[in-house]
Amino acid sequence: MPMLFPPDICLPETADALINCAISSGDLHSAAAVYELAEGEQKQQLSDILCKERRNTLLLARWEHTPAAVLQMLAEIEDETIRLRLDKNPSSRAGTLNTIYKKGGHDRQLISLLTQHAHSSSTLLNSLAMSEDDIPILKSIAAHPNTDANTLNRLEQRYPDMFDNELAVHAETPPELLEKLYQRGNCFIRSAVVTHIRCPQFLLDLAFNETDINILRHLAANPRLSPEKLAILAQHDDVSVLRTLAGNPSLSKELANQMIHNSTNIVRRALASRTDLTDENLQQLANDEDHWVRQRVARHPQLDEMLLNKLAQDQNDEVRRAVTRNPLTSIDILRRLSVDNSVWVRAGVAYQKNTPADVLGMLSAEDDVDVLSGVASNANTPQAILIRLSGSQQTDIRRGVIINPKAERDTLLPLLEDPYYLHRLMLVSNPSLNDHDRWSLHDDPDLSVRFMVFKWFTQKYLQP
Amino acid sequence: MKILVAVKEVAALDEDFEIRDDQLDVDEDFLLYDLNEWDDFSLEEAMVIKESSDTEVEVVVVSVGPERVDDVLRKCLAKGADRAIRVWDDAMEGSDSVTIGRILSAVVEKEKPDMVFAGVQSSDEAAGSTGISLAASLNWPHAAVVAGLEYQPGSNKAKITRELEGGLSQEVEIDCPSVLTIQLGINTPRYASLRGIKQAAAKPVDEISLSDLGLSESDVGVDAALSRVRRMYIPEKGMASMIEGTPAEQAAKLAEIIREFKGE
Repeated sequence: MPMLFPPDICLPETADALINCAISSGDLHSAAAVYELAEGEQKQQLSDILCKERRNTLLLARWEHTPAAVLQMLAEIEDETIRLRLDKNPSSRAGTLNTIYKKGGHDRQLISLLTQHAHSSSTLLNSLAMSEDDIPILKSIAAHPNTDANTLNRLEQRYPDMFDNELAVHAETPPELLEKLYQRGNCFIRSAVVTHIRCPQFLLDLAFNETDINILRHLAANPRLSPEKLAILAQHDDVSVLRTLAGNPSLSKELANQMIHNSTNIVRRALASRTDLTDENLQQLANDEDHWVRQRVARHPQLDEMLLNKLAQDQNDEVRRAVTRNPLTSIDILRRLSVDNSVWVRAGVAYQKNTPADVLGMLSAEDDVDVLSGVASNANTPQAILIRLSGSQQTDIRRGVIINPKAERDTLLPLLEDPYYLHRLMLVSNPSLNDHDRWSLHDDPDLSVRFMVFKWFTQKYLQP
Repeated sequence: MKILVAVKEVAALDEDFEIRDDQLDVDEDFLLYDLNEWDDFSLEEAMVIKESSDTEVEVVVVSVGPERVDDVLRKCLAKGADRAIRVWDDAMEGSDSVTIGRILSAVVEKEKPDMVFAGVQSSDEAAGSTGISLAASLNWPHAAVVAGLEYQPGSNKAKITRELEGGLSQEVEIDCPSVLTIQLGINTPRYASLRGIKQAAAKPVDEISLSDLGLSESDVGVDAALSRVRRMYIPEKGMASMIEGTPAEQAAKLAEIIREFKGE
């Protein structure tokens, strides 16, 4: 890589100095990072760098990290391929998409992409819904989360029946339209309607008398069902209906007690994930024959010490691992599990936020990468151990040190020279480092690291 | 002792791209260049031999291409290669893999390495023939798709494991010097250290011309090639259908398709 910056360039103390540094380097990614900060002549100079070669402009139009302000500037260029890339770029904002539409609104592919872009505005979608006749494009509009209720109604009026699948699952579909969809829809449309948050209560009552399993399964998930109806559904002989019902937040304690005896594993697993279980329920499920049920109990947020202790001795590794991940697990249990035969369980202890420093010290003597990664990322690990782990050959372990919120500046400094670019990139925003440390990466060989450094300082100088 | 590693700068495509007006290649504006993935493994294999050897081992990387190829050669230098050679002459434009093999064989005759490594194939052209063409041009023993290697520098034999179809492996003893085309997964390529990258930026890349190799314009390029690209194009899309319906309906249709495939 040719040298972009003079070797003795010091930390820019102002926004102006930062922009000038990017301009004088001629580096594409540094220029893109500071573009938002610049005005007037400096902005023009940065534009010149960004648009000097078409291959670079194409690259920026596609890159998902290109700042929104740069994408907006690129939208003004008369180049259909660039517009197409901007249209696909998830970082393009509504204003950029509007510009693309104004300049290239005749292109069918461009319009099709606009109707699928997450940032397309409801105004643009509404306008397209009224002017377009292309069914796939209108279908995308009907499925777009930013499409409002009025537009959905208009689409339904223009093409009745055509977009029922999309309208039935759209969050903005009004209750009156949902009713219409329910009346004319197949079992899948009716299933979607009874799951919809705006589904009128009388439709739920109507659906209760259906015999189709799909509809009943979806209905069983609806928390607006009355206790009586839930009780009737609990008698259903279809497993998928019962499994969905087991996860319904409105399920009464009595029904949960009753369903705990269900012979199907998936029903009991769904019950074991509920946060409103009684001590008796948990006791019973902790003894379940299915280890997935016991695993879910082991991570339950209201488990008492006795049950945690029991599950810590479970024959299944995954259950004991789940105990190590439960924030309620005591230090005594963690100490015991830190010498477990299974490395997967010991790794769980290494990641636990309550594991004391002496246990982490003992685990740091292991050679397993999962255990050591846990030790490296644990905030209770003593600094001396973090320093040792920062020199590990394993990237996962060094990354653990980088993400450790207690890793001190002196521990992190050697990692600024980490061979893995992603580690250097992560360090740019690390709060334990100072601006001089960050700036040392401004001439990094990796373009994304340079971009991140200049972007970090841009955000700093943009703050009032 | 010397190992020569033949490397290639490959082009990656974005999902949207344009074909050149002459319809022989993709417009260069839409290409992103990098070191061929297979060659990264070849270089690492050479580096492992170098680092575990008691005797001095020199690792030399060589590539055929214009000036921009220096970037991938510097990447190899940053990972520890001792020297880098780039061979180019405008007359080489349009050379096929057999012709490239001929050019590389001239480099081998000049450098006199004890072993030559190349990638099994390049990710852009995927011909899988450069390494083998090089061996043929040299009349050296060769082995393709090497997934394991036991070789002591200076030894006149190496034990290799070749990857075959159907999950089979084949253990082969091969006379040295030889040309081996290295398969992905034989090792774990390293990341270049920051210091290595900075030092590589200052290292020279030896530029070699046709005349340095004793070759003439008639030995290389499109006229010397045994195959020529006639047209590059995007084939018509095959049959595919979107599964329509609500998510539940789509799931039901998918389940039906899976059941049908399973013959239930």
